[in-house]
Amino acid sequence: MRKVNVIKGDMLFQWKYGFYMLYLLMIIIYYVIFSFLTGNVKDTIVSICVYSDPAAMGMFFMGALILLEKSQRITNSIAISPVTVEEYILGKIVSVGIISEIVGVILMLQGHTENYFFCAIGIFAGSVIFSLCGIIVGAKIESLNQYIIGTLPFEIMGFVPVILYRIGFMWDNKLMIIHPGCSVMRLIEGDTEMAVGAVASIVIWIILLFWIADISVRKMFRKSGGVKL
Amino acid sequence: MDKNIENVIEVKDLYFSYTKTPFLKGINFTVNKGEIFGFLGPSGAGKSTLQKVLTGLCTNYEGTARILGVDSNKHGKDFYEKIGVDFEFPSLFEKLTARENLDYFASLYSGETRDVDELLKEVGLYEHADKKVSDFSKGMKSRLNFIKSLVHNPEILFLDEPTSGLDPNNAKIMKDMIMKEREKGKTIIITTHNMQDATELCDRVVFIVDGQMKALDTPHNFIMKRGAAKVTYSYMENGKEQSSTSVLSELSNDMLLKELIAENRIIAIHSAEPTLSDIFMELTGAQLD
Ligand SMILES: Nc1ncnc2c1ncn2[C@@H]1O[C@H](COP(=O)(O)OP(=O)(O)OP(=O)(O)O)[C@@H](O)[C@H]1O
Ligand SMILES: [Mg+2]
Repeated sequence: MRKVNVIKGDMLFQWKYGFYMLYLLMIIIYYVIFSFLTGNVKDTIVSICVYSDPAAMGMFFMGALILLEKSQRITNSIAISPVTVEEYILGKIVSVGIISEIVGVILMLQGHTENYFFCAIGIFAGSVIFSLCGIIVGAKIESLNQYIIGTLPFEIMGFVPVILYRIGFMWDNKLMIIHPGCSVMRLIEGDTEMAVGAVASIVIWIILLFWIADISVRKMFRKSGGVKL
Repeated sequence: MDKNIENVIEVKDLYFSYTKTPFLKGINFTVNKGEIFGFLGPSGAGKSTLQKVLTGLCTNYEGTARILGVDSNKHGKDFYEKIGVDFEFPSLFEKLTARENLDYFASLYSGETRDVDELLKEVGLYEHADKKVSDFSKGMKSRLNFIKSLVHNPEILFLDEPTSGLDPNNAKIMKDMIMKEREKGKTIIITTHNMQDATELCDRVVFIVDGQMKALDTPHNFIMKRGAAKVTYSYMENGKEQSSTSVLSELSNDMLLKELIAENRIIAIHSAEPTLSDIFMELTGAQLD
């Protein structure tokens, strides 16, 4: 029950800070852009947006969320509550994952996938991966500037290869699914042939990132004291 | 956790440091069930640090720090079901209302929780229950922070300067609530530099200076053992007002006072019991506040 309550609390927090309004605004902007595009170009751009949107927004929002919590010393309150580090991380990735999923699917209605089921899994997985990266960086930093600098490598590593990949670069090289972003892209495309490998790669990455996030958040809980935004 | 443990808190040869040099040095005390136990000391003495060790936030200490029989650095999940912590600074969701805050924190515990409305009423926040915390005054936030630590009805309460920033009326309400918790059998640790509060509330107090324990006793014993009532008087000398102090029990030896009385030159005379504050200074050489 506590797990559910932590997730609900996170969603309430995101709602109050207007995150959902921002998502809505983004959907509108994307729809306007998509309306100017047609054919293959449109499919490619929509796919890239579906990949990058939950990811980019998820990672950026994660930093904002943790910084806001730190500045209000919520992290101290959580640290002396029965909420475990795992539950804390789960609350963050599931709450952001749900909204990312919704936004991703709405955007995908404008594009094309071979398999909506795999696509949905891909969107959620992409959100979780980038959220975990966001938590790892967010747990360490004390200001928005530090966060932007800290997440820059993740942004570059996360987007550049995957965008090139989707455009066609190394698309036929099966080894590319080692990159979790490329695996996510395969799922978004609804590629049933490579789904098993892609899912395996994603699962391994999520386990690894969750483990690092766990260590980072544990440290953050120990380090008490306020932070200013 | 064993229900029958009398020493609810047990601290033995405790050493802790944020850096290489030891900060908390050789802390020793036990707290009994149903006791209000005070940490007193000047700013930076290590009171909050000691509280963080006890509440499991600083885990790399040496020595023993046991809460309800559990080492505070090796506690499991249910450790926090039984303790409530009121930090020295508000730790609340600013954008949520008072009630949303309490409901959220209450939802994190598996045991029975207290009636949120009742708690809000007790500290006079019921009318403000649906206001955002960011619109609260400092004192309102302190009060909300305090009841937040009570919401899961914990066995042990850790209160870090609960009355700081409160007007006398609200400080009184909070002190009454703290006493009420003790009557229910709760054990309470209070950190403060307010000697008045400590004298009124605490069954025992420990003086902490520079991370070290300087003395431990009941406020009553401190005052009786150490203190001597004093008499202070002022008089005119060479057109200027002067004052002097004598111990009450040795007043007959004060030649100046005799002379002044004989010459009717006394302007004012006061007698005063020593306060815990005076005794603190006498024992530790350190000034509070
Ligand atoms: N997280 C931390 N990292 C490093 N040093 C710290 C940390 N927290 C506190 N200190 C240092 O430890 C010392 C004691 O701080 P502490 O907060 O325990 O004092 P205090 O007795 O509670 O004082 P106050 O009455 O002002 O609240 C201070 O010198 C402080 O700078
Ligand atoms: Mg303090």
